[in-house]
Amino acid sequence: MKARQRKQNKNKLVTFLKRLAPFLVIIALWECASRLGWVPKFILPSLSTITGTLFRELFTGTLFFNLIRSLLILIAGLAIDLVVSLIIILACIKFQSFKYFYKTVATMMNSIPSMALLPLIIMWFGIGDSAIIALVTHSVVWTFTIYILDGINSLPKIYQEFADNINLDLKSRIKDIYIPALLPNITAGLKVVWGRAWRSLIGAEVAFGAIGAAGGLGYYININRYNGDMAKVFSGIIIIAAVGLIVDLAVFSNIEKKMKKWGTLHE
Amino acid sequence: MFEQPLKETNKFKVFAMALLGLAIIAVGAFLCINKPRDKRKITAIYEYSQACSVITLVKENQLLEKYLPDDVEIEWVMMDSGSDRRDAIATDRAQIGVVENLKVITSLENDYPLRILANGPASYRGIYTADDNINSAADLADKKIAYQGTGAGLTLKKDLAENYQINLTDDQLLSLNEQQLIDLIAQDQVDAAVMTRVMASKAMQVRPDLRMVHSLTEETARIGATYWLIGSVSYFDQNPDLLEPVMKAYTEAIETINKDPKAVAEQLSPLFEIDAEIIEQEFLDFAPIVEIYGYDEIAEMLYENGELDEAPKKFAEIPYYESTPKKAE
Amino acid sequence: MSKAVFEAIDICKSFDERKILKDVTFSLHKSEIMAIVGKSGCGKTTLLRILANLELPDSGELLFDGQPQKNPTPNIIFIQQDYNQLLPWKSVINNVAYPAIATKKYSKEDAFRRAKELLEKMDLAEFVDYYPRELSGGMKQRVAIARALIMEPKILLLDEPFGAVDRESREKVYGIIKKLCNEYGTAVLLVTHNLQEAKNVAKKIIYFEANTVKIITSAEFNKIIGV
Repeated sequence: MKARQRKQNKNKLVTFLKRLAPFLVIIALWECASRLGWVPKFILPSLSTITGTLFRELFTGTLFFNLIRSLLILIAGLAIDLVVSLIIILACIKFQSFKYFYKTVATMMNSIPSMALLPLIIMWFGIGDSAIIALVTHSVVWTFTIYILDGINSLPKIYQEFADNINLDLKSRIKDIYIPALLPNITAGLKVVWGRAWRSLIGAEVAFGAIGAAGGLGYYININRYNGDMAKVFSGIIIIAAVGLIVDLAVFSNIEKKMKKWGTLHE
Repeated sequence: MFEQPLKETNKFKVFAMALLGLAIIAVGAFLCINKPRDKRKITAIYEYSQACSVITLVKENQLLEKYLPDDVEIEWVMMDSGSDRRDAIATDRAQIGVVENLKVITSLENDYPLRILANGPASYRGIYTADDNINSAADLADKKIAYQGTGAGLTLKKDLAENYQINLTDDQLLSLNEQQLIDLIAQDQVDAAVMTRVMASKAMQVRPDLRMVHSLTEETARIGATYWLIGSVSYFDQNPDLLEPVMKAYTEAIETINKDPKAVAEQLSPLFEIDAEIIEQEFLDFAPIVEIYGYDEIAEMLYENGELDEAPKKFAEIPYYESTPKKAE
Repeated sequence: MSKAVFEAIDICKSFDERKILKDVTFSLHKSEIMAIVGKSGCGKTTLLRILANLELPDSGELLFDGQPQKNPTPNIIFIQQDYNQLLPWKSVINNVAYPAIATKKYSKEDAFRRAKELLEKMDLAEFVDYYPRELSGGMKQRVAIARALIMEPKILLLDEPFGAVDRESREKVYGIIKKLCNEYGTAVLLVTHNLQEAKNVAKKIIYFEANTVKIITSAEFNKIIGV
């Protein structure tokens, strides 16, 4: 029994090391490339330099505040967009002619990258938080509403008939039937749009240069590129990627685990 | 084609061979694109702006063609971003160009391979506004002010703090490129903007009611608005014989400006789309010179303002100091 | 004979000009169990959906307790044929208790207590915390039946509910349904293509033929099933 346990643990360790190996190879190559001068340091600082810079900037520099600023704008943008999306969805449910019109417009708008709209956004909203929120809205609303409307269309009729049969009130229908039934679509939609919103936000911050007080992560990257500090630029990029990973693990993974348990996860 | 079905062959070997084949094709293509030329080539960056007026004149008067040997092919590339110019020269995609002095210093502190070749034009700066409630610098205490370039921002803060006891916060300051700055002041999305005469004349074409309410002092304007000619370290290490001809071309352009600023202004006016009088006035206010000055003072200012994490190197400690033309201090 | 609790009068329904139901007329009485039998695809499910007010007839009338019935009501609970009618995001016990809580028929405590009792009767006591995804088709149908029974409906419409249920469990469920009829006066209309089942469960058998129904005698029924 103990021998079998030991063997299982050994297998787990081997599997873990096999998965870790490619990362270790990349880290080693990167460090050598920079330290041995294969690639100039100003283009590719060593990982150890970047790591040191990252922690220094997070705890004693401005990087933490830049991160918070970007996140706050993102959350504000997403909150507004979810409300706007809800209004659009309700209007589509209520008025079929509006639904057809809206889906046509949304499909067209969805194919326009945020950066292509930047000149118009600057004209209408100036350069600042409202412009970034406008870009985030463009990244979120069209896609998210289409996900939900498609989900509503494919809601199993049997759930609605069950709700009809017992004369379920609207609030209970929405809370107990529609939202859980639409959760796969909501989650899939959110997963796509949050990434797009995050990328649009960072892109806008870089394009705008500097916005107001401590700018966000895009501003941080831009200003350090201006000053030629690539270690800080990499630090900013790592934080951007880390946020993406954390959101995926902390938020979406948990919801998906639940949906897997229910058997409603779209895979 | 195969004697045995593919599933019986070692898939790993097939995959590895496919990768190797792709790598060979990629390397071959790369070498074909980058094969050594018989002729040497120099890429110079220019921009139609006051900051690049000297190098633009070098281009217009074909001065590189005049002084460089015949075996050197000359390419001119336009880039309007100073950061892009700096990066192009650091990576040897271009060999000479003009970059703002503060950016050069911070880049050198971050080990960018750049060498300072000569001084560049400076610009007189003022604070402009279309807001009726702003009539002097004293009215700027709670206003939003746009500027272009770190130097303009630093000198603005320094000037208002020292002379008006106004400490501008980061919230109030917007760093933009020239066109963004002109757009925003024209649309009243900022209260005021630090502009050169050239920028102001462009902005006044869309907002004729713009007026200058404060001029930054000559001292601070001098520090915050200078551009330096920089060169690629690797290129001039490999082609040291080309340094002198480049400097001759640049020096002649400066002499031409100083000899007849009016004529040069008229020559550059249609390219810059700026009145010749304004360009001429800039030349008269700050006659361009070849020699570098103020390095240590600017570096110290950057360090004090938090733009540099560590105490900067002295001018005398930078690479290629000996060959850099410098003003006697 | 007691007054009919549910009456269908001259129900007609067509789909794309194809007549599915023609002048279907019958009545259900309190505590009565009636089976509707007929070949597959003859319109039995359509009839049930109309009786549950989930679809409108082209013509005809439905009376519940003598009054016209035009909308779905918890007094007439319909258990569909689809095994996946349970809410996947609720555990078994929550699925069963939910309608009683949501319609405020019972308090939460009472609803869960009654749900537990029903599930014990259905031999599903060990599965109260399972999710529908983890159950077999037959188990899901039993949960669906328990969910319907908690509402103590006056009419229970069952559309081939025992397809995937094993024989032993089926007998148990029949017993529960019969008890419900006696206890609460629930009338049951059971659609099935299984003639033996119809004979075992129902007192009256309605035979579906030529888009309409007729109540048949035992002799006629035995003739049909070949006894």
